[in-house]
Formats: sequence, structure tokens, C-alpha cells
Amino acid sequence: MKSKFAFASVISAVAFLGVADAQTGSGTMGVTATVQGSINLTFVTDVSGLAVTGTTTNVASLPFGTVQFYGGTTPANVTKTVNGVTSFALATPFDVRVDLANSASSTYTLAATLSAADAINTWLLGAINISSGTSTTLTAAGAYAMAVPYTLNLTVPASAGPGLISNTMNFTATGN
Amino acid sequence: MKLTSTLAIISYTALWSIASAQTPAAPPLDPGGAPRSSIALSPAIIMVRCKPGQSTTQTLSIVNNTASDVTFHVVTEDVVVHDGKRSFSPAGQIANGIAAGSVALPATLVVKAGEQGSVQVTFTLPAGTEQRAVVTMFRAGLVPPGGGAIGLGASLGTLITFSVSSDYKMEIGPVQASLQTAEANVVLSQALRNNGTEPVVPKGVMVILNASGKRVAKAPFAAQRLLPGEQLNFSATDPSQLAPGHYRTLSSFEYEGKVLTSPGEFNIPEL
Repeated sequence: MKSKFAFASVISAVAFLGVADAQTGSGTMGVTATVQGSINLTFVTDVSGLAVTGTTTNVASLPFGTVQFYGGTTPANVTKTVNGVTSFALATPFDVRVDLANSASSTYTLAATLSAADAINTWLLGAINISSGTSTTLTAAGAYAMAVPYTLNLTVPASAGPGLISNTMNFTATGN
Repeated sequence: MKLTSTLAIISYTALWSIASAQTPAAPPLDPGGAPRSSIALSPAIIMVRCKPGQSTTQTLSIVNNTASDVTFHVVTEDVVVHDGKRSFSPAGQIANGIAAGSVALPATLVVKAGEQGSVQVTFTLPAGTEQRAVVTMFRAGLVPPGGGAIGLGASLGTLITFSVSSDYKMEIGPVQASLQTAEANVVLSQALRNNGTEPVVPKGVMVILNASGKRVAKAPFAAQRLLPGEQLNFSATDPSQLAPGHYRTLSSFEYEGKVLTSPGEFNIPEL
């Protein structure tokens, strides 16, 4: 038993010694590196929102699936609001996070554009209407390293024909 | 025997913990466990010092950290300032703009999932222009996702500023104080306006003196970039709760080797 203990102790000591040895030594090495600033944009699923998923055609997507004015099922974390007999709205939050490293910038500008103007449905990000397809500034002084929630509110009139609503919201972040 | 096994486990654990400390961090995950979709652009900001008529070529790199290939269109717009506020103007829409003469090679690139792509952009500062900034954007090509899904496209822009002279001038506004509460310390802010012709990034500090002239606090202002004509509020949060009373301040901003100081005063009312 004693010899086994001694053997195990030696093994342990050698293991630590090897590691310790690997971190010592002498010599010099010149290091040259250029640190370059960078900016990063990430879509994040909001804790109260529809899951932001990957996609084969865009950076990410919000899978609403098939929805209808009367009845039907609404995806989890999507709120459906029926406005009398005129329209219904689907709302869900999602988060946009912008990070910055190694750059002199304290805030960022974030703009959103609907890729194809929509004259039938109304697209709101919070209170900002982006239906026209023109670039709209969401914030001119966004704080870095924070997942900022934006609620998409899509209003579909009852008069609209059935079919696929397929569009993309493009977010552009620029350091200030 | 038990002790032997324990020691062996300790040895392996020690080695494993050291080895794992050298592995790269895993990509961030969503609360649901799925990898997050993101893109990154480098550099984020470029500050160029040049002469009118000179050209500069910059290499911009975009990283596609998504699960799919993304097509990016490279577009440069002028950054214009109206009424103290910044906005973007498509190339060619303002007189003597910089964006109209910029050339990106390639102008469109496909970046495969998990890979990086680079573009060289050449800017020429027109002689006599008052423009001092452009933004070069990597706009993601957007395809409707179908299947009842709404697509989320991500684009990023690099801000490029140009300095051609030493005409640095700033104007500072009066001190404004927020209401101090039990939950929030007082926030002191001052408006700064760039009255010169060149971009500046002022950084500053505010010293707070009590009625008897003793320094009771010092708070830094976060540095912010100001393009010519632009105006922004610079804020400093007092690190401590102040007793009710009258206070004086001395703000000091440093920019391009110059210093701008400004006295002020505010009151902390009784709650």
C-alpha cells in the first residue's frame, strides 16, 4: 500500500513538475502586433420574444409561420392583437447587440430598412414605421455591449389577400 | 488504493485544467442554446490625416459568423451635419462630397459562413471640400426567407474621418444637473459644439467644489467624436451622493493639444 502511495505521489509530482517546467525557461522573442479596432453586430433572442433562428438566405430570421385573423395558433412569445374587424397585429421583441473593441467610439448609430417597401402591411419597430423601405435611424447614440430590445409590430389589414408575407429588415450599425 | 486513484485524478485534473485554459472560447449562445448570428467589421473607425486632393486606400475586412454565406454590397455615403446632428447622404447628393469619388474593390463580395472577406476602398478628398467624414457600409444582400419567416439582415459601416488642417475650435454650453435621488446620483452634462473645420474627439473631466471651495468630487466625461458643426451632450456622473447645497464646477476638455475649461454651478435641493 505504501509503495502504491509513493508511486502515485511520484506520478503526481512529475505531472505537476512537467507543467511547471513547461512554463519556465529563458530566451527572448520579439513580438509585433497591430491591434485593429472592430465592430460586431449580433441578433439575440429576447427573453420574451420569438426565437431568432439561423437561415439559409439571411443573417437571421423570425419564424412567425402561418397565422390568421380569426382563430388559429400564434407562435410562443408572439402577441396577436385583433383591431375590430379591420386588421390584426403580430408583435414580438428581439434584441440587437452591437459591440466595439479597440476603437475610440462611445456610441453607435443603428438604422433599419425594410428591403422591399410594403404598401399593404404596416411594419413598426417600436414606434418607428419602416414600411416605406427607406433607411430610418433607430438610435443615433446606442450603447455598446447591451442587447437592446426592438419590438416588431406587423399589422395586417383584414382586406389584404391571403398569402405569404416575406420581407427582410436590414439593420446597419456604424460607430460614432 | 482509493488514495492512489484520488491522486491520479488530481494529476489528470491539474493537467486538464491547464490544457483547457488554452482552448479558445466557444461562440456565444442564445438563451435557447443556439449559436448567435453575428457579423463583424474591422476597422470600426479610421482617422485619416491628409491634404486636399490626396488619396488614401484602406482595407476593410468583414467576418461572417452566421450559418450561411452572405453577399455584401460595399457602399460609401457622405456623413453630413445639419443643425448639429449627423446623418448619412448617398454618394453624389451633396456638392463636393467625398463618397462620390470613392472606389471599392471588389464592390460586391460573398463571404462564406465562418469566413472573412476584405475590400480595398480608395478615397480622394476633393480640393476645397468641407466634408470631413464618410461611412463605408457592408450591406448584406437580402433575400426574403419565405416560409412565414421575417428575415433579419445585418450590415456594418466603418466611419472614416479626414483632417486637413489645425483649425480646431469648440464651444461649450452651461452645466445642466439632473435631479439627485436616493437611487441615482446627479448627472452633470454640458453641450459641446465643434465650431472648427476638423473632427475632434474631446475627453474631459469635471471637478465639483462645495460652497466653501473644497473639492468634493471628480467625474470623467466619456470621450465622443464631434464632426465639424456637430453638437453633443457630454455627461459625467458624480460618483457619490452629494449633500443638499450649492456647488460649483470646473470642466476641462482636452482635444488636439488644446484645453477648454468652463466654470459652472448647480444646486442639490433637499429631498
